[in-house]
Amino acid sequence: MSACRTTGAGSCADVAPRRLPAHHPELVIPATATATASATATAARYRAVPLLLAGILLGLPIVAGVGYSVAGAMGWVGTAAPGGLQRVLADVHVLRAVVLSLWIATMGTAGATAGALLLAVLFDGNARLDRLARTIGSLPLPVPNVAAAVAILLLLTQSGWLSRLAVQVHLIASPSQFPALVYDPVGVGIIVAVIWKELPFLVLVALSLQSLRGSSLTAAARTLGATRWQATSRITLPLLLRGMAPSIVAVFVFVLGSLELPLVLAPSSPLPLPLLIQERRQALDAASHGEAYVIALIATGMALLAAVVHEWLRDDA
Amino acid sequence: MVALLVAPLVAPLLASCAKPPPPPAAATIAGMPWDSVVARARGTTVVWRMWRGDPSVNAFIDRWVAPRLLAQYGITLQAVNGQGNELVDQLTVEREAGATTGTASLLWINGETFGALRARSLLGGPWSQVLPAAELVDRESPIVSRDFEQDPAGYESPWGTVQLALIYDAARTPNPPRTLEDLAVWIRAHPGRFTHDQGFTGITLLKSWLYALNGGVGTFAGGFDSTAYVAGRTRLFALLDSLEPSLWRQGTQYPSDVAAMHRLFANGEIDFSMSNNQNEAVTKAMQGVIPATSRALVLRDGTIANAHYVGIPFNAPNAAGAMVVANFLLTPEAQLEKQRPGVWADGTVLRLDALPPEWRARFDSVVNDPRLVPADTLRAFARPEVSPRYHERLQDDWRRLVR
Repeated sequence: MSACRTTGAGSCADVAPRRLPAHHPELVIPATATATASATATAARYRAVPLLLAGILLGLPIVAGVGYSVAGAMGWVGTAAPGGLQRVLADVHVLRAVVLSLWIATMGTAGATAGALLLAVLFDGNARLDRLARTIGSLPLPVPNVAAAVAILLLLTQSGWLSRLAVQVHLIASPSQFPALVYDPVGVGIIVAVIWKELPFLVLVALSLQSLRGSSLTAAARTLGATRWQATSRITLPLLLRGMAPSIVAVFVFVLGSLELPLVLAPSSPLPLPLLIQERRQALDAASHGEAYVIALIATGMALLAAVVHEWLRDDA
Repeated sequence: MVALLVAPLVAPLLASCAKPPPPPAAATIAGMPWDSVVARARGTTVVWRMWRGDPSVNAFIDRWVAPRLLAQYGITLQAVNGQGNELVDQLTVEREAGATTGTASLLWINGETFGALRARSLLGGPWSQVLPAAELVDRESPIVSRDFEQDPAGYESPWGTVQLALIYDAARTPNPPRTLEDLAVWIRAHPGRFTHDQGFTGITLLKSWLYALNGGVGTFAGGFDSTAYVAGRTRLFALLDSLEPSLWRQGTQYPSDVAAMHRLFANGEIDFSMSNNQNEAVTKAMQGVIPATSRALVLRDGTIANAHYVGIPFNAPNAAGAMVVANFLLTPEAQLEKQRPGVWADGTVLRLDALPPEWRARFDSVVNDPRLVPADTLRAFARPEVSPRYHERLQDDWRRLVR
């Protein structure tokens, strides 16, 4: 304890045993010989405070939100009428919304991941072209979602820029022949917007993983006779994907619940989940309000499921 | 240590448990002489929860109304976003949380929102009858005196009137259809060029067609009648089914709101937009949102006209200030400014022949703007709203069965 006091809190933390998550027990780093039992206890107490705070700040709102949604769905609080659960489970519009939202989130996340991997693998050098490509890839990061949605609108609608260009070069005779890419039932416009918006986030993650890892493994593989493609597909890509997995899941969950892009670009039939929740919540007929809570709980369940699947895959790996 | 960190988080929660006495309710304030209401309001802030979706309305509130309230009454006006069911929700939650002092003092409401707020006793009042400027209100008008067939009963004060109109481009469509029947013929002859939005305006259009196809508004007047509604809906949906293949995107998609309609109209994807304000063809053309040759069109089968109002919540922190604001909104000065096409072009609720001659002349010069639909045409084809339940049911059924 006294040694800790004299050397400052920083070194106290350093002497505490550093444990990696429980499913890697073989990687527990033993504490140094100078550590005493009381120092460990102090460190544990220091760690308990932020844990408790995080528990209150993060856990409480979630518990309160889920609790209120359940109460709202049952018609115990708010303006809702009871029976929302039965109505939602029998409602084909909800099923179509779940399918559309899963489709948009899957395609959007897959597209952004593929783009990020491509950029990180093809342009990981130090040449001017590499740096330029990486800059372009991370450029949309500060663009607000609504601005991105409007940009897609200006570009892809039947009266949009691409459509007019196609008329100019005589690809099509009139703008109405341009395929319906926005307000379309398969969500092409939203998926394009999601890819464009989420790509830079994943690019930054992939690039930082690349620079942390260095090139020694790939270099060793090449020395041992692996082709460039083998080194990429057997070493670089799996390591990148493994490192990016939490971010990929985060993107998927975010897209699943995000409102801004669908608000501007979504079809009116089927409606994606966030819009369906909003519509039922704001419906004039109060009977629908409970349904909004039920659908919100379904959406929360889908997001939790994604997190659980991620944890499960990580344990497997 | 833990206590030190947690205390600042918990303290506000505990403090809120020790409630101050609730502010005087609107009904109490309404019993005071007007001078003392004005005196109470001086130096206060009025938070007004309202729809903030139209830049011209926002500009009128923030840059014209607010500075005058501050100069004339020392009231700071703060307009914040919130409309329709959000207002009902917010006040319901405030009541559930036991908040005797709420957040907003004034609400912009009408129709089903007013009905829902009244049904749950979330409005304060009666108060609107004591406003000095209420003397000028056109009580004879069926549009102003009944809000979706409901008696305002002093729980809301009228602010403006609007009437549904289609918008067309005179350069593109020189001879637009003038009746619902002709419009149906036109839609079939021009596939993909007509649609309506899925919001309030679109459903209001469908409701006016519901009247037209079923013997007029009288069929649905006098409260919600389920039999009349279902029979009427069958005729309306039969027409919609027959039109669907000729609508924009073959009726598989509908624009989300009027703003999306205007965009499709301006870009030439569709030939008609619409608005719940008969003058929007002029105001939006002046702003360059839609072509300069845009005109409003009122179908001869009749279009729905309604009024909008301001109300005071049951837990308004500043009912006195809210009443002074509501009174100011009814003054000829504020009503005239609101009606100018360059400002908002929202119809007045005042009885023009009760106004002093100089004010009357100013109103006439605005109303008789040649670009607007003539006032007597509007009056001739105006149809009142019916019970809000019709709007609720039609919206719900259209979403589930047609869209």
